[in-house]
Amino acid sequence: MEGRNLQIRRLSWMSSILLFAVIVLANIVFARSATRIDLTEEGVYTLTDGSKRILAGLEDPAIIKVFWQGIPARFDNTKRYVEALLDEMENAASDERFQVQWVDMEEEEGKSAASELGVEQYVFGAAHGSEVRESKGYMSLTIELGNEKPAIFNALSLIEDQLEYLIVATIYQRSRTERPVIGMVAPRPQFNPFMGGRRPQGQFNDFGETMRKAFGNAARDYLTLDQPIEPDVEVLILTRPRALTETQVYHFEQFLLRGGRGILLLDPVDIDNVFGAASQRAEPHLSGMEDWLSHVGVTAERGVVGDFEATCLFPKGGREAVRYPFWPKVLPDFMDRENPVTRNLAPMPMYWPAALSVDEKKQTAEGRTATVLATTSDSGYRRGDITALKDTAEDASGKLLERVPLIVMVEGPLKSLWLGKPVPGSEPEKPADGEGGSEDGEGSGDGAPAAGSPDGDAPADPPKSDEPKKDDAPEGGEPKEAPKADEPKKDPGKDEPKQDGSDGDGDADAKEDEESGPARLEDGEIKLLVVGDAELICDQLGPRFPFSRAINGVTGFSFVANAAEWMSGSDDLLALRARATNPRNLEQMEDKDRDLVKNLNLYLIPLLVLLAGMTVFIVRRS
Amino acid sequence: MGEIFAVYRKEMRAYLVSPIPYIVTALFAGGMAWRFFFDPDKAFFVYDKAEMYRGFFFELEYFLIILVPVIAMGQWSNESNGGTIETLVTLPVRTSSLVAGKFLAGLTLILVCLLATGVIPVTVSNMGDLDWGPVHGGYFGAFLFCAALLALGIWVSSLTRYQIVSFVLTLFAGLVLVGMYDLANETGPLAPILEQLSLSSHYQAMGRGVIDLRDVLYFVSFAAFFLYLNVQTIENRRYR
Repeated sequence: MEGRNLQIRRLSWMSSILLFAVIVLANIVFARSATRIDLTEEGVYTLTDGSKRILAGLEDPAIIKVFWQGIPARFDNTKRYVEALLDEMENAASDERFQVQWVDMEEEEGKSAASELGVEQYVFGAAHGSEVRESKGYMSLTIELGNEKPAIFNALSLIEDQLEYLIVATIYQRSRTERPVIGMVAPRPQFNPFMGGRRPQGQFNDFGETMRKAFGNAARDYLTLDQPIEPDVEVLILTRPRALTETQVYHFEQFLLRGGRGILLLDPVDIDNVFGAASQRAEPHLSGMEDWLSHVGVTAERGVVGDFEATCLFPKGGREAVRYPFWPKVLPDFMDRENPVTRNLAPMPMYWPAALSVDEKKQTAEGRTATVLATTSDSGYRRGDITALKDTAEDASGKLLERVPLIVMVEGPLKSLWLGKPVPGSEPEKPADGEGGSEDGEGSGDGAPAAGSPDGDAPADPPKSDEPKKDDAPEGGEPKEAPKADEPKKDPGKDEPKQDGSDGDGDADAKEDEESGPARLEDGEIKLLVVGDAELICDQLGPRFPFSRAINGVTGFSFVANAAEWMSGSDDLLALRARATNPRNLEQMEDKDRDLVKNLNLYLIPLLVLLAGMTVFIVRRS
Repeated sequence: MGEIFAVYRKEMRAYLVSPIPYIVTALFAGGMAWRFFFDPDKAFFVYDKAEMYRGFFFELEYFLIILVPVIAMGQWSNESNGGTIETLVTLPVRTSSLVAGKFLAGLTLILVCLLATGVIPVTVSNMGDLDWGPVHGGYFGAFLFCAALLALGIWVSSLTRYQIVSFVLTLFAGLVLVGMYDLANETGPLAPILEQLSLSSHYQAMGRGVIDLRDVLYFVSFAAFFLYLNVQTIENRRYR
């Protein structure tokens, strides 16, 4: 009997060990399987149809190299997502046109490949016993397609939400035979040896980087308005213009008149007015475009816009954050859902934006349409005074609460502001508006921060003279003749601007072009997007600022990239953008309502459960 | 099936008449609400997001490590201590039915506890546009997490006649299985293995709203293995 029991026990243990082995084996076998169900409403972890369509149409092979090594397990979800996403993409592309290579980083070859490509190591804190030390690892991927330099995406955990878009957009842009050229006029980044960082210190570096990744070589940043914009540029993003000269405004206008599309990010009140040197002055920055904008029928009103309902949070130090009315959040309900640019846009933060007003009569009289694409909520208001913007508490009493326009699209015919006048730059000029370039250290021709400017982190070049350059003065400095009304003009969307005064002598025209740039146009069809804020794409409040990334969101980047894409005539990528994760903010509540919610949750269910227990107890006793 | 249901009914009746499950459920629901809404570290209202992962499902794991051993500790220990185990194992009921009945009853009680926290996501959805996908995923993950830990806890309970020993051992095992994830955060050669073995890494993936076959397989096989061990342990008693 004892022997039989022993045998049974032995069998029992053996079967347990066998079962354990089977289970381990099954788990190992399925470890590479990526069968999963995505329960999220927006299908965040599933490839969109737009991505599938673009990948299925790939003609040249795209090689994705993943560099992953030395990254702690807490990033395992990111790794899994990257694996699953790339697997799905591989399946969506036909004939191995999408190749994924996980680089073996244990080998020296892998490390040297990373170094050659410029893949950055990710720095993180890792526990070593009881202390936390800084460690480095690889968490990047590169995309190689065609002969262009590989696109690199570092710190994948930070861009996990947008990874699908970034990969597909890069592939899409690089595989396009005809690429729209997107230009950007923004303050130049500057290397500052005293700041210690390796990265150039600038204001719109990250957005420029985003555009370069999305549009590849077709993205040209740091263009200047000192000269006419190159004719192949289709969309121009003019960021935070400061005290532009008449010549610069003229070049921008001419760019629009010849069919270029413009995105104008005004920023009369910026972080400098709140925390920097300009806070003492209590005056908004002038763009130098005020007269021209008024001519177009759009005005950036003096002051800032606040919102009592839809606002972003403002960090107060420690773990505290408060709602800040001057960082309004544009909610989907207050966006034009008919326009492709804003149709699928998630709530978007804006920082100290300016109110835009549209002169409807002027627009109608001149045959243009001006569409308001985004406003504040119904609790928006204008505040003319820009002092004490640090104060987070605002009183709604006495304020006119209304929807305040923040983004406007203007389309239609426009006659040049300089119609019948000499071309600016043909004689020495002053800044177009009152704010002189040297008055506050701003207003360099390309928008670069000048000496003493709070925008710059380094001593900048001496302020540039606003004197016209020789190249700017057509016909040897003499005012050009404007084309006559019945002379042919460039069709919007065509690459080559037509010349005025053409006599059919192509060679002579070409020679003249070389000498003096594109000829002057006196009217044309314009398409201009005016935004009352530029900080929605600035570095300080962009993805590198954890508070923006985690709490307020960085939808501004998507919005401007969407707009550039759409204005260039393509909306393929907008379908991908559609799935930008919605930050899903809470509705604003009074403190007493919050307390009620907290207390109800804390006490209600426990009390009900205990009551149920007592009822059972009483029933049983009775 | 009838045998399983008979055992299940007996266990559920025992839960219903005891005050302990009510107290445990009330403490669990209140504790979760407190951590979610009141804990300044989680700062639900500061983050201002209608989402549950950061403040709820991440915390839930630690509450479950305590809840599950409380529910599992008495399953067999009580029987051993009260001398009823001999009667049980000599009944004309298969051991697997006994184990399954106890396991399902424990799981039902855990489910009730999880449901009691359901008022939190309902509240959040009233305050903002909550994506229910990750909530469903998180609860499903929590349920599987509990099933795995409960299977382990019931087996531990079958090894000892003392509830407190069973509780401490299961709690310790739970802490190790979850803590492995933190250990795996230290990069090193064992990190990938620890990470794969950890209950935490499989559970946390579900909280994002993605149900991965690998995670489900891990939890199911983990639970199945310990239920099997439990059956074997009780079977061995029969032949003692």
